Amino acid sequence: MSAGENDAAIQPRIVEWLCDVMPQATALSISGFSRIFGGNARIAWAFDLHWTEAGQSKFMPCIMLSQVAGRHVDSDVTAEYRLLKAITGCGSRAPAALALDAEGRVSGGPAIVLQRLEGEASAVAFLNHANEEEAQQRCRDLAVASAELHRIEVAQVGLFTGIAPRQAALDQISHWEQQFLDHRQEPLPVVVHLFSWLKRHCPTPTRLCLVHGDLRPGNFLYRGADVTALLDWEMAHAGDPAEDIAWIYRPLWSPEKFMPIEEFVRVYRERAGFDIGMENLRFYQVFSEMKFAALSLTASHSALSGQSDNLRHLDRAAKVAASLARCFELIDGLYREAVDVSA
Amino acid sequence: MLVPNTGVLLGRLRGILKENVLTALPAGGPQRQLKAALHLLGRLEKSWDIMPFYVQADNRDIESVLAEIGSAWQGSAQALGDWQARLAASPHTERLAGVNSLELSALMNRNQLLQQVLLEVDGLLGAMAPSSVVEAQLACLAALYRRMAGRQSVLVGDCPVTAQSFAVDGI
Repeated sequence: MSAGENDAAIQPRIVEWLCDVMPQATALSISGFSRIFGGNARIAWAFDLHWTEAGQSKFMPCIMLSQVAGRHVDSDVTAEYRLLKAITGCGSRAPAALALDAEGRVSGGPAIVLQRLEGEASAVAFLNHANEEEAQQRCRDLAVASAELHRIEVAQVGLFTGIAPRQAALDQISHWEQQFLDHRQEPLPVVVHLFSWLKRHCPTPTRLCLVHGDLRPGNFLYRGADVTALLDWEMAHAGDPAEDIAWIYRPLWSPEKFMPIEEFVRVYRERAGFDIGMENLRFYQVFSEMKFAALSLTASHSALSGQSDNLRHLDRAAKVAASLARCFELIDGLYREAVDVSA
Repeated sequence: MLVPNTGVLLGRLRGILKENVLTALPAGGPQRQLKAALHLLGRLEKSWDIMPFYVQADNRDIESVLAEIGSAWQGSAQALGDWQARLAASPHTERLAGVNSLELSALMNRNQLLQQVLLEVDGLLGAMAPSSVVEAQLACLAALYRRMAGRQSVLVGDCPVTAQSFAVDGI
């Protein structure tokens, strides 16, 4: 069975699966089943779930996300499901997790069913919004949503117990360095050099947080001035809150034209009640470029080895040059700032 | 035969696909694939002819830095590995996939070997006890990495090609 198998065959399997995971439900059925765009790494289907429970008719809009082969993100859908279960009700604007098919019996790839929330996800529409005032309010709400996420007490919800903050930060660098080493198609000493720089300069997080890991336009829903949901949690991990903010402001998708990063951080700090440290933020801007470089090389490898036929992945190795150039610019800026401070 | 050259062909191909095919495709997967293909064609149009100059300049720059590092350790008891012997050995002539010119293939094979040697030398220097010589050589490598990244930006079309793009100082 492949993940792209006829959708009509998948539909009854979803019903059977959800009957198993919801033993309290009777008369369970789905309607409005249709395939929707799930990004570069997953196939997605939308449907409405109907069931009866304790004599009452119930309804939930749902989305099923199934991993595809040859992805540019190595992630564990089981970990994503457990994480979403753990933070449900903690005010993180994450969708509720309903079911997990780790073996891919339903769609051909590991899959999860999540609550489908209201709003638009388009990054292009977000970044080209004509109403500047509304766009600024959305950015402000994104800063608030980020602060709410990072305020979650990770130990209290049973996540990442026993990890020291600095080790969590170093683990992320090692994770992306390893992904680079696994997928590079030539030695690339400049990339190796910059990962080494990251390991030597990694700051201690101001606070150990649940980091979304891919928080950017395209991975959250918005409606009007509000951010209604944070999506795509497959890269979530323990780490430095500055990591998410630096990623939101990567130049390729940055909302800088609506809200300067300093203002975003000010709104964030007000809501979070703690500071992220501008030095940490500058460091994670360098980290973000190296993470993007590792993702690009993984995507390129996957397209050239025939695991993916996504043409957006085919030339991703060419994106690495811009990341390296920006790393050097940012590092020069960090050294300039350090000299200014010591002068 | 010089006309039409590859850049002109790629440009016209991209134009026709954009005007006649993209406009006929409804929103969805095939349209996204075509947009990605058009983007790639545009990039190839900007860079199809500069690869030999890029590799040649990169090789010369790396070789020059490695020669400087090698000469500083000549006669020293400090081991720097066997990379100098490997670089001096006859060039690897296997034709690379996707490369038609044997000369370009040899340059690219050489570049891969030089990249590998850079990794080894950087590792060896990084493991040595700190000294002014080691610090100077690591700084020399760091400066080389910046020049390599700058050349890559030109190769992939992020920066325009100029007369200085693939010039290497002192060579």
